[in-house]
Amino acid sequence: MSRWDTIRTHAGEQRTALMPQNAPLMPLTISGLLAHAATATGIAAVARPSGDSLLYGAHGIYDREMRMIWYDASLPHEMRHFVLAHEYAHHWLGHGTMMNTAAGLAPDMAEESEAMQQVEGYTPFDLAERSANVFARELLLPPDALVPWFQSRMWGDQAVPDVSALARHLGVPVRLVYFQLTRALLLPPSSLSLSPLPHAPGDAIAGNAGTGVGAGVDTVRLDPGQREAAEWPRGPLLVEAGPGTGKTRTLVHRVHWLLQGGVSAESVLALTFSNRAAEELRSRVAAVRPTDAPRLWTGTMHAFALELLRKYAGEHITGLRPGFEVIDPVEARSRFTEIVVSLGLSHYDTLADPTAPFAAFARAFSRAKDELTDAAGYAALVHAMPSGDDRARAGEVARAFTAYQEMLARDNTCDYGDLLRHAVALLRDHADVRATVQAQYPHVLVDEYQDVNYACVELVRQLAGDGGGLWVVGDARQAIYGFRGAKAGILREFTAVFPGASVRALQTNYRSNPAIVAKINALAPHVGYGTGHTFTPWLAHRAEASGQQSEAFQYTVLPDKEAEANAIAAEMTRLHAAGVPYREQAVLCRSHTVLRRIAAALDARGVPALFLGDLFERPEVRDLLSFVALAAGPDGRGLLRVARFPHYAVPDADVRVLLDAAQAREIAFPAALTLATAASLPGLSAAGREGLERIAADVAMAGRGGAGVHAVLVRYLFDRGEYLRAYVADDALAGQQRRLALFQLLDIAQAFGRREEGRGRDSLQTFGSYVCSTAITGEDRRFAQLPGWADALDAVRLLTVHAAKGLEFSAVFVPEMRDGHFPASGGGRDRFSCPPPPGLIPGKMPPGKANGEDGDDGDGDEGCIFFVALSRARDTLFLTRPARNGNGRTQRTPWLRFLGVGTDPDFPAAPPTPRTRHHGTGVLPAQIAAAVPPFDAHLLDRYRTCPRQYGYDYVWGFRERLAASAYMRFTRCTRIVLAEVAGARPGERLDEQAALTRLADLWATTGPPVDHPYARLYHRRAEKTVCAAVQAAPGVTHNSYLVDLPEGYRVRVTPDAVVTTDSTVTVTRWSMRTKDDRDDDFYGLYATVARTLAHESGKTWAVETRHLVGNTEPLPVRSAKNINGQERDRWVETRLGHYAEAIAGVIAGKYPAKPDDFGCPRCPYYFICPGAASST
Amino acid sequence: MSNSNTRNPSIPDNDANDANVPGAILDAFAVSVSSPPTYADLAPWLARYPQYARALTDYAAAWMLASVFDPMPDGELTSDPARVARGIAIARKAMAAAAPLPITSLVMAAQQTGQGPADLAARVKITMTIFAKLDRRLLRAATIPERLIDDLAVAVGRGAEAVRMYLQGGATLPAGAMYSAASAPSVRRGEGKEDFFDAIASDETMDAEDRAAWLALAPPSDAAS
Repeated sequence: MSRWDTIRTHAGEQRTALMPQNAPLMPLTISGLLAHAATATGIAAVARPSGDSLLYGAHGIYDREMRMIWYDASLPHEMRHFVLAHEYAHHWLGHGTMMNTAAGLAPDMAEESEAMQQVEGYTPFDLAERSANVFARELLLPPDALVPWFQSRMWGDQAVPDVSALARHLGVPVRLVYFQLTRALLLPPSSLSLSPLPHAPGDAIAGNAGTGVGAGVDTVRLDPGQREAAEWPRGPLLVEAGPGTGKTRTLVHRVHWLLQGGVSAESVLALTFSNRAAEELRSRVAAVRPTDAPRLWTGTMHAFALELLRKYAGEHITGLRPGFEVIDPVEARSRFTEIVVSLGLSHYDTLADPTAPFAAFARAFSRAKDELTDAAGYAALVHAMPSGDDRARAGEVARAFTAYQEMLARDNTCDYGDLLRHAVALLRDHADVRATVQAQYPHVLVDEYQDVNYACVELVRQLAGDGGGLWVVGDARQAIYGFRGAKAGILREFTAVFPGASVRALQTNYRSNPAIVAKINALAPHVGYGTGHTFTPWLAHRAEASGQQSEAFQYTVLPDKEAEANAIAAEMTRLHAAGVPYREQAVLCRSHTVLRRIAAALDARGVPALFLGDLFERPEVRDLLSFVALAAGPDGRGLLRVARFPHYAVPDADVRVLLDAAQAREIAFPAALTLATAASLPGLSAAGREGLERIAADVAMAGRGGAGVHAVLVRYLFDRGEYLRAYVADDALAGQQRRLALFQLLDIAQAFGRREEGRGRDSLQTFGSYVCSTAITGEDRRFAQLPGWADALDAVRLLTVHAAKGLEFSAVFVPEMRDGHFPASGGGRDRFSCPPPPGLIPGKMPPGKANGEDGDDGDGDEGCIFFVALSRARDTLFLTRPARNGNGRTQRTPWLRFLGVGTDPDFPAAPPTPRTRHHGTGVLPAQIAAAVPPFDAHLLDRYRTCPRQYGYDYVWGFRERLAASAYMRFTRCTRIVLAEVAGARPGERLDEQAALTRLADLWATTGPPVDHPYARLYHRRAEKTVCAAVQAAPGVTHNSYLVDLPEGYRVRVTPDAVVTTDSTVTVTRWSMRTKDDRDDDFYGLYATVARTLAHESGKTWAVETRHLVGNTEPLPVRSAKNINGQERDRWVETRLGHYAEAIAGVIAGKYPAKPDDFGCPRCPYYFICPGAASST
Repeated sequence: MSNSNTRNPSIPDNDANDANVPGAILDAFAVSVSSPPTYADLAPWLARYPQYARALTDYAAAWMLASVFDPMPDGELTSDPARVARGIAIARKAMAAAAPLPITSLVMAAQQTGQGPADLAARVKITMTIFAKLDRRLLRAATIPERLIDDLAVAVGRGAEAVRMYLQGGATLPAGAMYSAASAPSVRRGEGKEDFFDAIASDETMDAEDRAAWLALAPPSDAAS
């Protein structure tokens, strides 16, 4: 039972106690309930005028010393009821005096939220507030009571039409009712209903519950090693705790032992690296020391650093003033738009989205901060680099870093990386603060010490003083966060950093079957500790029959991925039949891509698998985002998807009628929806009109009151109810996952509203931008994590190895044991990669060091990741490798060589798949094809980029309906002038002055809005480009050409410039970018034009790119540079074939989406697109 | 950062601190804690008086050590430091009971005489609201009627001067209060404090008769307001 379940149960018991004659629903008024609470507790609640000195600015105070509750008399009566319940909750939960402001008194704040900031809201005070909120909600309105209302709209025998009316009727805040409805209708039954898991003997000692939630802890049954470590009299002590050796149990006992020895709970600081680990530790300490647990400071290093900074911001910290704000990567990217224009980036120049490199920059900044290197230090390291491309790139990153930090300081903000950096500086530079904090926390305990980075080590060093109270636990073999600066070496250096430190190792594995322990022991010497470390194998505590042991570890090679999925599904089914619940089985992978594949495969084979995947790509989430987009207006994009909801079922033809009418009458959405209700709109079918009228009514209802995106969503889901009703009735796992996904979306919307409300930005439009931005920055990956609410679902877990850390399962499946996946290939250097300057990371392995043997960066992490994957298994470990990957053969992962699995069987290579020319399928007879009008190449380029986007743009006509982006306006203006410079108007070639005048005229009428953040950047670039084009223009011609494709189609292409010399015809692409080495298909068209012109005049031909800004030397197109003759012809034909395929697709009306991690979140149709699910 | 026996260390007292000497603080510590003291007893005192941390720690440590020894046989002399410390502690405690020690809070003063806050409030005919404001020194001391000061002094068995001195101190938060680091409580200080009679007038929970009685004590100008 989780801590939150315990609180809810406790609240339910109090509720029952207060209403002994309880009827099924709500027999008492809320005020009656609270009056009973006052009588039962002997704690009176007294209203005080707002601003009364006794309130200290709070809305409510639970005054434990006086046994009183003081509350603000000006609160609306529904909120007053919640505040009082919250304060009584503090009493029942055993809290001390609590002063509660609006921030903590949130009737609808989720107790567990992936959407919340990762550091805000995790101090002991915040957790006490959250606990009281949970308690208060359950006391006032148990969710189960709301299910009958949702189904009948009756409360008892009284009709109550909507949630607002219900809230008024009950006397509770409407937000509380929505939240409890969300829980009742979207979440699976409580984990209270979980049956006990079949844990192995001795598991109670190891003490890790199957899904990571702490179970009760028996503090007495420690083995001698655990006890010695837990009761170590004086630190510093490093406890090396291998997997399943009872790490957390030992840590909990350490706390227990300290408290028993008279140490006060307030003087113990227990630091972890993740909120989940902190929560588990808190729960397990609470099981042993319930009254002390809330007084311990248990939380992440970042949360602790934040609390320090909140306390000392101002005089003690440079760059942070009181009231500073912590911004997440999404907000940081948003603010980066302000400074990117002035950075003058060349290597990271991306005109369409100048912030595109930000995610890579942010990672570079963060890594620098992990190493306590500030912007000036980073710039100095870059300055010392030898000249070259790397230094130029790093120089741009350094420039961005400096500007970014200046911006943060100006705005009184900091990012996550700054928290540790500032906290270290605070403690290091201010002896008085350091002394105070050290005096307050003489006992510092650190969990998962292998996950700390250099900044964390420094923080611990400053906190620990002489180290007498320092006690850390970790396992270098589980150091898997090298990408954020955590290195196995840090743990190895513990005794050097903390002189006099002792090291003790826990020796017994209580988790796994002996056969699995043997495999872990076989791998262990090769990961984490490097050479020179003597490894003592762990003892297997469990004794198993030999039959069970032989089945415990299996490594199987299957012919292909299909066979691999079959084998995994079959084994899962077998285990389930043998009594292993699906939720006790997990597939652990290295990447989300493989997880997606396995999830689909298990689903197809009837094995329930829990995997949310990319939240914003799920259909039900896109449904609601489309509804939001429709309500936000003004262009009606969302209608394309909303109209297809089953309960609206508006035919496409009717949607088009409405869109056309709205455009013709210049009425923006959502107001344009009302056109459907007017009898004057001809052409609508009866069904279409009816559906559109319902949509109009729902949008109007949901938007009523205009209280932010969360309010719109919950009104739509719960007040109308039609959309949700079908999902609520679906008891299958897929239905439960859909509801979980909706819950996640509401959680995100709510967290967004809470954050943006104060900035005046909680609007439907800004929410759309926020969602896109989370996908662009990769922050959306957090939402793919299953919330704790899902623990009760009996389904196989599909997790990345990183997400599985700290968990254990009866059966663990690790597929794709092939080189390139395990270890991951790393993917090489991408367009925005920011290699760290030498010297940034102390002790980084020099290139060429033996792979995987040292446990530091690179493959060292991979060994640890493999080790973590294997050691999650209790009873069964099932490794598989597909012998083939597509048409290619795979090699098994090199890590298997340590496990003694023998030689893999040989599978023959798959026969080569005959290449089919897809475009042939839709090709018309030649004579008809010839009659097809020529297609413009730039339109076909749009189709080839994404057919679905082409469909929205040109088939649905949204290209005209949508306001052109600033980038589109910039390119349009500039391209027109470039064409004219190149001679598009015969006899009117423009000189520089004329070209700039022409640009200015176009810019004034059709250019980007002057207040757009990139207007200045674009204008500057346009002028530079035009001037450079004038310089390059003499001798060039600019014409359109028809290119015949093999199938008989024709394409019209207009090269930027054609230059003809005595010997060569060169067709040139004029690029507006400073760097651009892409090899686009249109060069095939350019080449055809060049070849034709050259053939006519007996010359040779070439194609090239000329960057008009930056490096202005013409560059040959890369892949055409070194090829000649037939090979070059094939190169051209291949590209022309792509255009033929595109034309065939357009003619056939095929508009499948072409998902792309970079392009999709930036696409205007991101929310309405069916994504990978689309086939036409 | 919270404790049920102390004021929040972030709110400095304005009155008695300057006049305190380590001995007085040790005395106050001695009378406030159970015997022997635990670290939980000591920690808030260290936080409040960091400048006397060493003296407090030595004192508490000696007391804790002494507590593990058997009682001394009657009449036997010893030079054992722990036993000496224990003797000092007992002596100090005894002295503390007799000396006019400063009051560290009205709640504690009430508890030392076996009363709860509600008992004490009822005894002096004020509500818990007014009592809490007095305890946290949220009322302007100059406006507090002498009668109430005398009543409180009698009720807690202390001199009126000790009560008066306490009420003149700086405003405090509730003992051990927890609050968000991001939104620190607002505390009215000095002239910003509330007038006693205004507090009485705005206290709707007070019995009408009691209210009238208190308001009758207000100076003419205050009464008019």
